[in-house]
Amino acid sequence: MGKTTIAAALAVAAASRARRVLLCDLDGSGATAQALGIGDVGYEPTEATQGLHVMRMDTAAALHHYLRTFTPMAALGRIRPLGRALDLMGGAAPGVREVLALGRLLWAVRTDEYDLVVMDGPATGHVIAYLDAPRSVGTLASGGLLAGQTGWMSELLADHTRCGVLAVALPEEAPAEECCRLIADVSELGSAGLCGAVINRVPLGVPLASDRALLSAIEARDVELPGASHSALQALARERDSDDAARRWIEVVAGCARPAPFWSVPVVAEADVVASLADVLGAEW
Amino acid sequence: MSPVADLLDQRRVVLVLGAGGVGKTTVAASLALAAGRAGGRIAILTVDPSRSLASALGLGADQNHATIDVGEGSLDVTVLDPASAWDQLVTRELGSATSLIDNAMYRAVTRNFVHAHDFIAIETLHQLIAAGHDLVIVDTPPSKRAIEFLMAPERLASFFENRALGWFTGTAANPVISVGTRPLVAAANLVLGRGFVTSLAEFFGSVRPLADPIVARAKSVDLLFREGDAAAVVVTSTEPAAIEQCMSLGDELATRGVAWEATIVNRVRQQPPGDPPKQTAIERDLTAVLAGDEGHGPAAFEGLARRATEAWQRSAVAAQYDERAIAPLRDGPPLVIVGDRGPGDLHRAHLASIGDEIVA
Repeated sequence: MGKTTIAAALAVAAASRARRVLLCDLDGSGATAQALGIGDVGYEPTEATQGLHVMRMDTAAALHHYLRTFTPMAALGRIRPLGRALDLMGGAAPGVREVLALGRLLWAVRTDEYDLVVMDGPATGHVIAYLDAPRSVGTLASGGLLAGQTGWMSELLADHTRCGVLAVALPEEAPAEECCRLIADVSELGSAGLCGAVINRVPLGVPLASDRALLSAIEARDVELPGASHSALQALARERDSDDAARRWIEVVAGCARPAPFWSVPVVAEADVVASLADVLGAEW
Repeated sequence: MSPVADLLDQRRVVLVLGAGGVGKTTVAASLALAAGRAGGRIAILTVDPSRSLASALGLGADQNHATIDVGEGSLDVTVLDPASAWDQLVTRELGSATSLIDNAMYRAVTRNFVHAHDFIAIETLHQLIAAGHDLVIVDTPPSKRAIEFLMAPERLASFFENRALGWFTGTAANPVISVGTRPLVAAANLVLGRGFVTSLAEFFGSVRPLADPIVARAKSVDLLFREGDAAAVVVTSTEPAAIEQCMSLGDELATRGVAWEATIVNRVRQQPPGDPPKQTAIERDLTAVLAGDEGHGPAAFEGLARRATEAWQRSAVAAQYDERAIAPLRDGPPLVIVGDRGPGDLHRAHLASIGDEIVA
């Protein structure tokens, strides 16, 4: 879908407007740093360009961060078997890993350390696990220190003025349907609002209406033009077909996102995709 | 014969791996239909097919299983539904009287725990193999790292064999907590709450009886992955990010001892046929065909001819771009190129034509 590219472009666009931005690579694959063309980043945010800070999520580090921030026992996480036990709990106990990751980013929002926090989200199938984690840990782990922190997380997540989910789709059947399912799941869960949908890699929007009419007229004639002319008209007809299909799927995604807005982002040349998209998204701002 | 045709003919499991958005599910479905046409009992395990893809595989709305006749053979279609697959597994293993299904911790783990989906996919794959299919095509669950699925058996085993887990479950079964475990449990209680640790411990206590059979089956699947009966096919698009992921996936497959037998490059844009068109020639041809039609003036012909020429050039540039993008893959396992078909519904004929191109 180009989720990572869109996340990076958003972050770059915001930073170029003099906002302090934190961009987080949630799955730790390093794809976010790659999209920005910078070297690997770690858990501690690295300033990539003026105002743009990039980090890679690491739940073990987030746990230690959490213990430092919220408990009087800064040393707790440093006791080795304890760290291992808590790592295991993080892996085994549903929602703990997600709460730690989400908590780190929401904390950055809460403390106004950044003007904008962009989370390059998990794969579609895992989004709900994240959005449901504060509630689920808050319920299952009531009485623990962690659950004590989930209240403000849930509130912040649900605050439409500060947080929202941005769904990314392509103007094709399978990605558009997947995006609509995600939007439906997010709204059914209700823990966070949808702030919009981005439809990525929208074809150029050719041909013109007059060309379409001529193409149809030729197709209706059922005559084949000589080789080279035929081949050229075929190329234009293919562009028309993908444009038609794209429009159809844009309508579908826009309909699913409503009343939240949607943005179409055109196909851009491969060189420096992020910078070009940042311009496009910046102009929409 | 295409390298993929050989795999469909000779292997028992073909794993279809790849980054998100490359058309992995479509390719897997096309392979399954192609294998079915050649004969035999074929199964496909798939995840989240789009509506038209599901109907091309014979599935009605909200249906997760179907068997269809394809050519000489039959195709068993299973869509993985992790929540209900877990519930079925638990009832089968523990009896229908089990209260585990209503346990809040169980529900949270099986519905939301990321790896739980991979675990149940492995379990379902085992069932399909055990059911005696000649070939099982696996459309691996989507995850940022496609290799996650192959790590599931090992992860499952090490999860249940973890000593720390034993400490926690031990605390539920045995009220007399050993001195060594006490600070661990105290810390976990502090962070997660006493209730959470207790119910987590209870939960693991009650799934313990499941662990041995599940782990044993997962290990047998893992062995199958590593021995000659299984093959991995990686699907990619010509996007730089997808190709990069494809190559790193190849490295990971090698370290895990899974045979990467072929790469399928999907939706490769082809060089438009013929020599570069000349605008004036197109104009002339258009005039010959359409002159006399109402409403089409020479200006319209000129405009269309220019834009068609440009479209041809864009199309040629795209084809060259794709050709270059694929180049690094040529050093790897055999490449199979699937041409871009443009937009179109994924009905069965469409899948069949993709399948034909792959096995040709």
